[in-house]
Amino acid sequence: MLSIKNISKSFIQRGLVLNNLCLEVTEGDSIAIMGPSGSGKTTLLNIIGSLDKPDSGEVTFRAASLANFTDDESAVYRNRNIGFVFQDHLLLPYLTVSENIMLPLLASNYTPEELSVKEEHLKILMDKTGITELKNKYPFHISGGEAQRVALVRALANSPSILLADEPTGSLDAKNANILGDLLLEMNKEFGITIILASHSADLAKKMSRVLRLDEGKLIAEATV
Amino acid sequence: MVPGILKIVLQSIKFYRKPVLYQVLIIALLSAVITGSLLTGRSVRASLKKSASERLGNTGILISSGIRYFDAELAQRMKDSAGINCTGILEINGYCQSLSSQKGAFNTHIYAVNNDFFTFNGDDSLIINQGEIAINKRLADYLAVKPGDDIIIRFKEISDIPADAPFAPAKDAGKSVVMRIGTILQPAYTGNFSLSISQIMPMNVFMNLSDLENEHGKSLKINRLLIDKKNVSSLSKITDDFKRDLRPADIGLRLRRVKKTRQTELISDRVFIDAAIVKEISNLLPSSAPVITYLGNRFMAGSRSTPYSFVSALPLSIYPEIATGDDIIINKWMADDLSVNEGDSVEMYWYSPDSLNKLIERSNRFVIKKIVEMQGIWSDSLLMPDFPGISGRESCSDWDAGVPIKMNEIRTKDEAYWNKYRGTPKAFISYEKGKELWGNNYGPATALRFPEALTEKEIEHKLSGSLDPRQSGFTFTDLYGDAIKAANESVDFGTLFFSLGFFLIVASVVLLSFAVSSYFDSKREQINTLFALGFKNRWIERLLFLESLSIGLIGCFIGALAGYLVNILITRALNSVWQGAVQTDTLDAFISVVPVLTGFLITILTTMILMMIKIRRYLNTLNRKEKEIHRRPSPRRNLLLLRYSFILTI
Repeated sequence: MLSIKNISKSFIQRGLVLNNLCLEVTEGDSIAIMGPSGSGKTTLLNIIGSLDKPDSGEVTFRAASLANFTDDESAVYRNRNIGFVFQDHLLLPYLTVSENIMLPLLASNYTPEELSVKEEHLKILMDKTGITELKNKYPFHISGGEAQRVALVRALANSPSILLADEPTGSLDAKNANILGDLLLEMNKEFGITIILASHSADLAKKMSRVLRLDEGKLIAEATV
Repeated sequence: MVPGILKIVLQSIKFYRKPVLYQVLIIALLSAVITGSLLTGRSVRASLKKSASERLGNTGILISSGIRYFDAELAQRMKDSAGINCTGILEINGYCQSLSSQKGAFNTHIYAVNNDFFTFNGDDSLIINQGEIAINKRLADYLAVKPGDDIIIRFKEISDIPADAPFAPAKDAGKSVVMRIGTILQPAYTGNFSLSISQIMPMNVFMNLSDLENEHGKSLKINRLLIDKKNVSSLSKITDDFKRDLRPADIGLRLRRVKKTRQTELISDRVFIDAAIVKEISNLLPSSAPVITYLGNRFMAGSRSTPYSFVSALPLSIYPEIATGDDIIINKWMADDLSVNEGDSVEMYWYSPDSLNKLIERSNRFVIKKIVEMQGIWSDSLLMPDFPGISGRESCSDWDAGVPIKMNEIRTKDEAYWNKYRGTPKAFISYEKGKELWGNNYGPATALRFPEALTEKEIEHKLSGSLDPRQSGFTFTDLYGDAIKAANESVDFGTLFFSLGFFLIVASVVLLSFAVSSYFDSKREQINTLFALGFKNRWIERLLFLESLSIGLIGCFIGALAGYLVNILITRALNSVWQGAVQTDTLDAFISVVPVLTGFLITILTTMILMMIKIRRYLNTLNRKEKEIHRRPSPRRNLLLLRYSFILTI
């Protein structure tokens, strides 16, 4: 589904971050990428999400090269195929929980019929993640764990193929981190969503089917976590 | 429910109300300065137009005879013949004093009007009764008087003869009348009527013209003719209409038959006839001949002297026997008095004003060409002009000749001559010599004489409608047009205050730039999230544009309202501390759609251009990511800069 071939990426201030990195991702994979801060985990997720471009190498999604996408095509690719979960939930503070969750649908140009199907799907996800009661609250009225679950549901609003999670439990306590980890796994198993997450957390990583370490710009498979 | 873009915009504005308020206030300041300046410009011009309209009433064209007077009947003739709505008034300056408060006002404008004056100005109800006056509110306030109070009005005597003309009677302190205040006129009801271009509110007295008539017992004379602005087609047409209706009598020219010579004579109420009129009449009636008669102080021949004798300078064309050059013809009475014979010399002395109007005694030596008997053309008492202080006086001692008269030199025989022959000239010289000696600024002739063949009717017919009124001192002014033009071409206070407020405008734009940068930086993560969620650049740009537009519209709306307050403040300052700039204290703060809309549009355009630049730069920066080394945006730094700039601006 997703093929990353020999991509490199360097920054003037940080030097070479990704070095001829290769990764093959199949449908339904759940991959944890570990590594120290500044090792390039977020850069890799940004390149996969088409928020950034590699200096060299190629990323293909279902045989389409991301390098050939225009800005608008990249936006559509992100909207329909990628779901992002960040360390800080990054919910819009002036929209309610339910509005935040529905927000990706606004960028999708759905017909009313499609929209009502999506809205029904989101209600199920909200039930599953236990945030239905929060739907009319604003982000600053809910806890960090609740906000991260809201962010997860927002990421899944368009039923993406890949969920990119960048340190999703980084700002959560152990209990909430565990709940979120389980939810990610549940989404992977129940809906077949491919998950690629970057994390320092070994507990979260071991819930994934594959654990990779980013070291000197290359991905190395971890034998044990 | 999926939120719409407008809901997101409104929710965002509501959530970020503090930074939004900064922007709104800055935009409001910008808008207030621009709108206020434009409104002030409009207010000054509108006030000047309103003031001009109040001053002039319905007056369009003013026909003024300057310091001369003309027959009020001319106004009626203009009405009848040209179908023009007009009214004649007498405008003089004077002094008013309240008998109750004792307060006095110099330089009061006194308008003696007919009852049609107020009808002319659109108020049929107001009539000034005889013995009553109407005054304007400013004068009433100044004198602290009310209707029913009496005031004394002093003004210079109205005379056809200019005060400094030769032989004008000595002037007394002027005339005084006590009148009762009937009405106090508000500015909107012609109270501030004025024919001058000054913006200073006048102090006006309106009195019935017939009150002046009764006072002097003379026919009504006026010096201003007001033409309704609605009737004005062109200045030249009015001039032509006026010329067509102008008769010699209107400008004080009278015809009379001279029995002694059987000629017809044209004389002037002003005694001397203007050179321009003499020339004009001689062009129209080439057979006319000018005559000038002057008062000599004395004639001397050796030790003998004849005091105060009139001497006529006569044209050769109708007096073929008249002497030329320094030759003189004297009558038998003077020859006997001086004991002189033909061929003898006599010295004549007379007063003449110098360039400073000071009387200088001048003299000329003449050789007696002929001594004539006092009969026929040599006994023509009508040659003496109607000097107001001399004509009709019973005795020489009653003369008020406007020149020093030494009464002790007047002998019994001189009184006898006056009693018998009045002002019959005792000597005669050529007109050319007389014009050289006695011609003055007021004219080169005291009469024009026409041959016997020309009748009074023929002369009157020839001159009526043919005399150029401008040669008689009339001026024609499109007062309303000039006033509107002056108001339109007055100092553009809009641009002036716009320029004065330029620092504030620039400071506001800089402040707004900081405020917007700070605001956008604080939303950086949210915009990144929108990118990540798959929103296109165009959509995000539209979102930021709508948000900026909403903020701009709110700021501009508040600024437009505040602009009116700025306008009120500036107008008040112009009426008080900055009065020197406008020379008036009657400015009103007008609200007008055009300047408000212009200010609103200029501000919103400026704001949106700035916002669009900021949005584009902001989105470009976000798209650049970490490819280039760039200064990391810092909301905190921007906020600090914003606060410092704000403090500096204040």
